[in-house]
Amino acid sequence: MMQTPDPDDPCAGNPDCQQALAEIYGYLDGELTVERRTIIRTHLDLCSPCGDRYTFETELRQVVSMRCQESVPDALKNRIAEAIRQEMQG
Amino acid sequence: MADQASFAEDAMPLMSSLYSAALRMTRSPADAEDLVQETYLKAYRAYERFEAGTNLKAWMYRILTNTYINAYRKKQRRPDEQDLEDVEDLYLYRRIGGLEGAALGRSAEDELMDLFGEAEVKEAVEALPEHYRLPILLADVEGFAYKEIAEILDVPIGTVMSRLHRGRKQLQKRLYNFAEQRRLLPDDAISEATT
Repeated sequence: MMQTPDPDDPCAGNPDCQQALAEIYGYLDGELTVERRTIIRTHLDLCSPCGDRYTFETELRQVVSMRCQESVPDALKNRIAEAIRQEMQG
Repeated sequence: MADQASFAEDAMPLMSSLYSAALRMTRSPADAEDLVQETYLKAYRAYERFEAGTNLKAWMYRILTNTYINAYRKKQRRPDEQDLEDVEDLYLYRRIGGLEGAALGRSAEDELMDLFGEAEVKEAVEALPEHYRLPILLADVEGFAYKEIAEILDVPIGTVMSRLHRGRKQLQKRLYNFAEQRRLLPDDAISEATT
């Protein structure tokens, strides 16, 4: 029986795609076993919609991480260095 | 055992990472500075008990997090700490995932950087309930492994994973709401998302 593909989601109903989606964060977080990692990597290389999702999540993560970086005020660095010096002197 | 004399040299390079996390935790520069200073002093005093060769950053984060939870969290508890409604997977991708193809020669990352400025991302992260916010900071901003996050927060790994999963969806929803409110998205992306 022919399945009607969902025009909005070419991956709908494909168990490989569903598995890749379920493990997307495990993959992104570097938490999969070597075996699972290889399986998902192969799928992402073969299935471009899943590959796009993965790329999007990766890049979003990078943007969030970059946007959350702060530089330490010099006054704080000095205050902490001084506090530790005082501790060292007892 | 670590040598206390080398503490400054070992731990000072971690300060910008700890300060960034402290700001997202306390949402106040003054409190973040105090929190980081207290963390460094506690770490210095306990440094002889730090096992040299193990992960100093994770150890410092554990002190930071415990200090925050014990001292700062109480006075900052907000009414938004209750659980939130569920959000679908890949919330943002489903709404704006096609946008990066629109402008030729630009990477998705550049598009996302334009869409989500520093203020929006920080606000979206800081608005997350704390039990989502801390794992997200540790995983997505600092790159800690699940096991390390479980040790830092003193919760089971399964809890780390489920909080990350739900927290990330909440974060995506908040980011989308910002972009939508500020009319940063092309009209078709908005109408698609609201139908």
